[in-house]
Amino acid sequence: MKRLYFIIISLLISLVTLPIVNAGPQEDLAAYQKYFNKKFPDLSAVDLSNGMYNFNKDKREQWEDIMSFPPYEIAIDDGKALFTTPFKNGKTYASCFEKGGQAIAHTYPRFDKKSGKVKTLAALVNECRVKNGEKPLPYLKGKLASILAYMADTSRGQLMNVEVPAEPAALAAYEDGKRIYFTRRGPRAFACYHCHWEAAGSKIRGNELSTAVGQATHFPTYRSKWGGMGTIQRRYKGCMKNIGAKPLKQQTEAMNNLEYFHTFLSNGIPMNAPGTRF
Amino acid sequence: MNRWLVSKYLQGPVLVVLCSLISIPVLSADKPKTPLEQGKVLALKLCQACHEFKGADQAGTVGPPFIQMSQRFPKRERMRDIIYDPQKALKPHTMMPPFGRHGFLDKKEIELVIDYLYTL
Ligand code: HEC
Repeated sequence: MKRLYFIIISLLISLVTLPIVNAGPQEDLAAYQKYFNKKFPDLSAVDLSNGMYNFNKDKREQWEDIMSFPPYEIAIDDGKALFTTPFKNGKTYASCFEKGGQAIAHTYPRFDKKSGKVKTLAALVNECRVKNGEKPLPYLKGKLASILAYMADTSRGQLMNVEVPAEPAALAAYEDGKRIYFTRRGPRAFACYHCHWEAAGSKIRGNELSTAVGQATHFPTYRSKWGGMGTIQRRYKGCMKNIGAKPLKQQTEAMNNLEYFHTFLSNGIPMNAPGTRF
Repeated sequence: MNRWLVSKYLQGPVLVVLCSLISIPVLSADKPKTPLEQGKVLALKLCQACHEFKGADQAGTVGPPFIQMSQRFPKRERMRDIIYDPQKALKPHTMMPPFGRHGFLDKKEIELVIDYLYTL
């Protein structure tokens, strides 16, 4: 009898805990997006991608003024010129990507089966260059950001769709990115999570904090503070520096896993990149 | 001739050095800060990013505003614990930095901050 009770109770416990133990990326995503929908019932998924401008009317107006002549237009044009100009060997970037690189940006970063690692679109652009006998470009701004701006623009309006395939290495990369997102760093012991999740919508030193869900939809972005375009990893580094932490290096496994997790959070929201921010 | 050159080129720097010698003591001797003023300086430096309080012009809204502090924190000990290490005193996942444990404030400075917060 005792034994039977034991079995019944352990069965009951496992029924209750199983969904939590087994929660994969899709379950995470549903729960995370629900959290933000509940926290900001008036904001649609598209609204969430407007970041801090959801939370300050004056800044919103200034931003809309800027957007009547978007400062990223030049980068799209430059990027298109770079993208379509053949390498010295006569090939173009289009040869390296499916669909010639058109309307694919919203599906990156991707898990690469061959290497067992996450690949960012930025990394693939540089791999394409190297494969065709060109030098890789610096990752955070400049020409590479322009090329990404052009590629992203061909994805504008497509729903963000980062896939985490059901295989151990991909899930591990996703979990690692998640861990990094929730890890405290720097002397103030802030995690990304604290500012863009728990405190999203509140002000920190006069800055309204944008929501984690939606952020990745508008990168690369033109930032007035930068006076130019920057990639998403440039922004991550900025936040790490701002809190006095040693920033992770761009395109390292950790940084790419962070981008994987963070971009996945915006799945289902239309890509709206390149974007512009103060 | 040489001497003229020397004096011409050195005049500027010499004057600057002299002025700074004179002005440094004058500036710092300006007014010694009272303990309450010192507490306020520390609160403005470390707390206003997240908390609103009187006189904070770059205040954040992440944490609760500093109002009615003596009613809300009748026990000084409680305030001291929170400022020292809120992960222990409040909750493990709190966003508030461990100002004592991470060395932003030493013991004496924590008391200065508390004294100031009690005026709010
Ligand atoms: C101390 C608070 C704080 C922490 C911690 C923090 N950020 Fe930020 N972050 C900000 C502020 C302030 C801004 C500018 C306002 C905004 O857009 O939210 C910002 C902006 C951003 C943006 C741009 C949003 C947009 O709409 O363009 C991204 C992306 C971002 N942060 C990611 C991160 C990541 C990833 C981490 C963790 C490594 C992180 N942040 C940690 C405060 C923080």
